[in-house]
Amino acid sequence: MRDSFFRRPGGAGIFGYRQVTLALALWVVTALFSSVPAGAQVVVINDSIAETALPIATIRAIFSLRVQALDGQKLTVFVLDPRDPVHASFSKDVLGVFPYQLQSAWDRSVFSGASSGPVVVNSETEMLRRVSTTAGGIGYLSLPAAQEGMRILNIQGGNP
Amino acid sequence: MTGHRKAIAWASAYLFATLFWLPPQLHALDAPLHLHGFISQGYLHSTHNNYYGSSTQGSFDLTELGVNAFLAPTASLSLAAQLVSRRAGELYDGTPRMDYAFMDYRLHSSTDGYGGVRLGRVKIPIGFHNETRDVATTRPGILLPQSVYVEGLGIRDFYIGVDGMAAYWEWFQERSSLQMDLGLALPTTLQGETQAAFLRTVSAPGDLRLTSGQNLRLLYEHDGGLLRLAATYSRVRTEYRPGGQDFLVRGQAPVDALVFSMEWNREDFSLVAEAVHRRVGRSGFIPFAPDATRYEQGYYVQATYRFARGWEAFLRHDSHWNDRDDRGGEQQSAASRGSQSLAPQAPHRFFQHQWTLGMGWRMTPQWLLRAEWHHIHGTALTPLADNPAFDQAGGRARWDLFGLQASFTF
Repeated sequence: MRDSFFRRPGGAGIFGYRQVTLALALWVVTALFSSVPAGAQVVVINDSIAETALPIATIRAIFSLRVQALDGQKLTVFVLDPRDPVHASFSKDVLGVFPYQLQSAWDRSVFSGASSGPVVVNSETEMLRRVSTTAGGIGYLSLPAAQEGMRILNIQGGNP
Repeated sequence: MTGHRKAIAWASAYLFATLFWLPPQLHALDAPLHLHGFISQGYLHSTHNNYYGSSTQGSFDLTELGVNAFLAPTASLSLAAQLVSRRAGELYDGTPRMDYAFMDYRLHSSTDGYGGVRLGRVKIPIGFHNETRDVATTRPGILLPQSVYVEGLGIRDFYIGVDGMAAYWEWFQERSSLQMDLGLALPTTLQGETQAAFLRTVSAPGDLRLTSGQNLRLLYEHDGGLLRLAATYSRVRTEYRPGGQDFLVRGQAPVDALVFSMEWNREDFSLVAEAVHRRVGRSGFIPFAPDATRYEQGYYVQATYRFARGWEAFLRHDSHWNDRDDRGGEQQSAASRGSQSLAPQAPHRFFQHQWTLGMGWRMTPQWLLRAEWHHIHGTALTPLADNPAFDQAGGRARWDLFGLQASFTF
C-alpha cells in the first residue's frame, strides 16, 4: 500500500488526490477487515511433517519455540506481526495463550540461546507461500486455504 | 585463571567466532545463522544513596548491550553464544563477557515432551527471570526484584552463568506441563569484581573459588501458562585459598537457596510472587573468627495491569532481611561496630523493603519504554560500591529512586 506512494511516476513532492483517496480507502478497508478476524484460525503445516493432528499442548509448545523438531524434521515457526489482530486472535482463541505470554516466551527463548525466534511474515499470502515451501514450516491462516506443499493440521483437545 | 577455566574460555571464544565466520556454503545448508541483540539505556535519580553511579545527581550509568548467535546444523543439535556488556555503576564497568556459549543436544523430541543437554557456559534457571536477567525487555521492570535476584554475595557468578552442564526435560499432559532443569557447575575461580564484593577488599592476595555448584528447578504450567508454579534449589560452595603473606585465612562460604515462584495470568492482569530462603554460612576468612550461619529471607509480589494495547502499569512490594533472627538489623549493626571494626554498618544495611510503581509502553514489538518510582526503606540490596559511606555507618534509611529506561531488541 505504501508502495503506491513511492511508485507514482514523476511524483515530485505532492501526491494526487486520487492516489491519496485510494490509499486512504484501502487503509480503512484493511483496518476494518483486520480488526474483525473472521472465526477461528487454522494451523497449517508443511507436507514434510507426517502428522495430521497434534495435541493442543504440543502445538502450544511449538509456537512457544520449545518443541523444535518433529519426526527428526526441524520446525520453522511463522507468525504474523504480533500487533496483527489475526495473530492476537490465533494466540488467544486457538492456542489459549495470551499474546503477551507468547511474546515473553519468545524473548526468553531468543536471549537464553534456546532458539532463533519465530519468523515474522508480512501477510497471510506470505505465510501461505513460506509454510508451503519451507520443510518443517508451520503457521496459521484466518481461513482454510488449499495450497500444494502444505495442509491443515488438526488440533486434538482444542481450547474450549 | 585455572587450566580448565582457560580452556573453556577459549572454547567459548572459538564457538562464538565459529558461529560468526562459518564458511558460506554451510549457511546455505538450510541452517542459517541467526543474530539477535539488545540495547538498553537507563536513567536513575535518587533522593539519597546512590544506585548505579551518582544517582543522587542523576545517573546514566545503566547500559546493557548484547548480541547473540544461534545455529542449528541438525534437528537435534544447536550452538548458541551471547556476548553481554553491562555498565551498572561502580561495580560493573561494561567489559564484555561471554554470557553463554554452549552446545545443545536434544536427546528426545516428540508430541508428548522433549529433553536434552547443554555443555559449555550455560545459564542457570532460578525462579522466573534469572536466565535472561541482563535483558531489559524480559524483566518485570527496570530493576529486577533484588530480594530474589540478588546482585551481591559470592554467588553472583553462579547466577549469571556457569561453566558446566545443564539438562532439561519437559513432559506434556492434556492441560498442563512439567519442566525440569538441572545445572551443574565446574569448579572455577570467581571473577575479580565478585571477589572484591564478597571479600570487601581488592587487596586480598589469595583466590576465592567456586568449588561446587548445583541447581534444580521444577516448573509446572497449567492451561498454557495461565498458572505457573516453580520451585528452585541452588547449592553453591565457595572457598578462599590464602596467598603468600595473606591477612586472611582459609575460609568457606556455603550458600543454599530455595526459591518458590507463582504467576497467575489473565488477559489484562497478571499477579507474580516469588519468595526466597537462603542459608548463608561462613567459616574462616578472619583469623580466630567463630563460624557463623544466618538465614536470609525475602519475597516480592507484583500486580501488573495491561490497560491499553502495549501499555502496562504495575505495583510491586519487595522485602529482604539479611538475618531472619534480626529483622531490624540492630544486632548485626552492633556487631559491626566493635572497637577494631574497619567497616561499621548502620542497621538499615541489613534489610530493604520497597514499594515500586511502574509503567511500561511497548511502542513496537522491538521498543520498550519504562518508568518507575521506588519508595525504599533500607539499603541491604543497594550497591556498596556506589556508596562508600555505608562502610562508615552512613547512608540514609529512607529514600526514593526514580528510573527511566528505553530498550530495543532485534
